[in-house]
Amino acid sequence: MRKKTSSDISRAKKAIAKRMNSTTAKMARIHVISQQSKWAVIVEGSKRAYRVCPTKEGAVKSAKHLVENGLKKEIVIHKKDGSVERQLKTTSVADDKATVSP
Amino acid sequence: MPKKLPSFDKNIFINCPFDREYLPLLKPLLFTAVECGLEPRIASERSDAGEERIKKIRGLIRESRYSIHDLSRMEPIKAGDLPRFNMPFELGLDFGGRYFGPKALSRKRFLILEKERFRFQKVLSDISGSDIRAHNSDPETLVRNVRNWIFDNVRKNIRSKTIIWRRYNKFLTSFENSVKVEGFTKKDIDEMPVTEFVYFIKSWIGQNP
Repeated sequence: MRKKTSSDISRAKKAIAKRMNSTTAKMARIHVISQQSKWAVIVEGSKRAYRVCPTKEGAVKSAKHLVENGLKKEIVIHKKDGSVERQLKTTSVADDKATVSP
Repeated sequence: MPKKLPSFDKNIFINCPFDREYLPLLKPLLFTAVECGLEPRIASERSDAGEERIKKIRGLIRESRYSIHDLSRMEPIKAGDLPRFNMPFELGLDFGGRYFGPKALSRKRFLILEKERFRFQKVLSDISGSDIRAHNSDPETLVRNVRNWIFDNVRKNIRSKTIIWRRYNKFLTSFENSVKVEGFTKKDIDEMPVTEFVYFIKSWIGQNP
């Protein structure tokens, strides 16, 4: 197998950076994020939180409501450290029964 | 006297652990620094095995006007391990530069982070009176501490902590999705060089100003 050269690595990095900034990456999503011991529902493109809930379950429910009504297409549920716990698309929202992490 | 580098006023030396346990704090720390217009400088940025580590640290301290020293992990990771002295040692070097180094270094500004508010007084009381802020191992609190310190010491026209935290969450979504598509595993992501992670932060912020 050919050893990766520095230009291969550089090409891969550029491809990732391009993907991160592509229009698909920027599609309108709803984020459920930790915010000062509460959980906020943030709609991309909006400056204010759509809702701030005392529990993560409540915030996820509120985000699902937006998707079920066809207002948005994707929910990103974050962990307390900001990383992605899971992502739900329009098709999977109704069937989602998974419990959320604390 | 060594000539002051043009990037001196933008460089921020990050003195913290680089292990997996610290990653949930390191990532938002780097993001906040870049988001506020600073250039993170870390000991692992030049991986030349021939270069003495202490020489590297000395260079970073001399080239950076600002420093963040996180002492929260100087205790052993688990029972039976020994405590880690690198962070307090490098903080001492930085203080030395400020007091005994060339004039430019007397303008240095430090932020010292700790896990709990007054814990340092039991082990390092000499630094009492310095700017020490506790993050309680909470990434969001760390973003607030770093952002507010930058506001007080570096520049005023920066975003609020709430906005920086939201942008960090959005960045992680784009970053994690994109690297997975390119074939990165969780281990690849966890063990990604810090300099590579900073490259992606800069790229995202550049496209999402």
